[in-house]
Amino acid sequence: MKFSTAVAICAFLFASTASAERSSTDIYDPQVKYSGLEDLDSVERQHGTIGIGFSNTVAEKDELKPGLNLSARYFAGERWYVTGELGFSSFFDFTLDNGLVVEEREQVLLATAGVGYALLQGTASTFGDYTFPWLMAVEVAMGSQQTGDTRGRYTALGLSWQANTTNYWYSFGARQYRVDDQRLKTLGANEGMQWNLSFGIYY
Amino acid sequence: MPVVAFSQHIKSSIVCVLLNTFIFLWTSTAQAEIEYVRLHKGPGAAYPVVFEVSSDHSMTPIAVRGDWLLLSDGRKQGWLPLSELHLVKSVSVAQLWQLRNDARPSDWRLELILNSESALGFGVVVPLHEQSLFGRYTVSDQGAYGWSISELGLTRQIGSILNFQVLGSAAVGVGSEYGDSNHWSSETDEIVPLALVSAEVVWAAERYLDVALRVGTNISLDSDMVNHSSVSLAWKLRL
Repeated sequence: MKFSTAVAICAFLFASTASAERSSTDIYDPQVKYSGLEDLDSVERQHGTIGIGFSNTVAEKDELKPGLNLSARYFAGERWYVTGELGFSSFFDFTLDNGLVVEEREQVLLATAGVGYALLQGTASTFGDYTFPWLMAVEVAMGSQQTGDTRGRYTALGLSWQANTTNYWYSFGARQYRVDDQRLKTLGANEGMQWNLSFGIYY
Repeated sequence: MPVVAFSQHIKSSIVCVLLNTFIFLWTSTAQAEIEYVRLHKGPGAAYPVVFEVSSDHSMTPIAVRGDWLLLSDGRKQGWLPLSELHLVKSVSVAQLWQLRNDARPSDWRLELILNSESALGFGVVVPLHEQSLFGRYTVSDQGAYGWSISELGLTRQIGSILNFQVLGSAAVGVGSEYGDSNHWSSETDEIVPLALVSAEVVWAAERYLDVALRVGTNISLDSDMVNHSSVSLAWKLRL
């Protein structure tokens, strides 16, 4: 490379840099600022989930008791969430003990509130071409269960596995429950296992 | 002639070295300004990082959950904490401010209470100057019998231990019972006026959730002056 060529290149670079600085500092060059706030209107706010599901109950001295449940969750952070649930089910069979009867098709109405804590969070894959986040949470639920004409405090502790896709939410949960209802307690039908399968959307 | 040529060659070499050094420094400085953001598969730090993109990569917000934002470039998407959103150059300052402001919880709270007296409760806490006004309903439902308390009171911070707040509360309320319950020792199922005090230690478990351990006592303001003390676990959701 000739000396004059090298000097010319340096001079060009220096001049272009200097002119760039001048243009950004010395010349008033207003630009339209872009806030983009209107673009945020299309951003979905996911406060929690609402869902519908199928549940099944196995009490100690009772047959299977299928039912439906409506549930809602509110995200309280990365791991905690608050839950609310309404459950509808009925006894399928007679249960008779000590003169106390749970009649066939006796309706069970359950209303609970609770909290959940995600113990595990990870990613699952279906055939390697589609992945979705999931979590495994421990849940505590408290509320009241109305069984026919009697009612009692309901408490439950269980685990819930939840898959979160972009638009939908799925869960499978199992829990140990107890109802402080003297009539059911006498019948031995006041505690047992429940599992449920739910599907929902974000709100 | 050879001396002149050699001299020019030396000068050219020096200029080339200086030029290369200048270009190297200029490009390395430009590269140092590029930062990378890690996008997670889900809205939480425990979810695995699925993509790492440069901060000048154009991405669009898709969804917000708590203080996490789902970003997409049309081909791939992932979750980013709002605390790192300032690194993404395609998100304007106004958008950043708006998203962070939306995620800020208020001072209103909902409470869910599990009580050692086999009772459940829920309440609402509303900020009121330096105190907070609260209303609570606690019920022990045993089917054939039970009791309940409705109370209204004030609570305020009285200290702190490490990262825990210590709150004190005073309230007045009414108690009632039904069935065979003799919780208030009243022969008839009448409504009993109550005075209640409590202290609690509060742990900020999450941005929107506090967990409190509460010790409280109440006394009936009738001739029986029945006293009950209890320990409660309360989940306080910030709305």
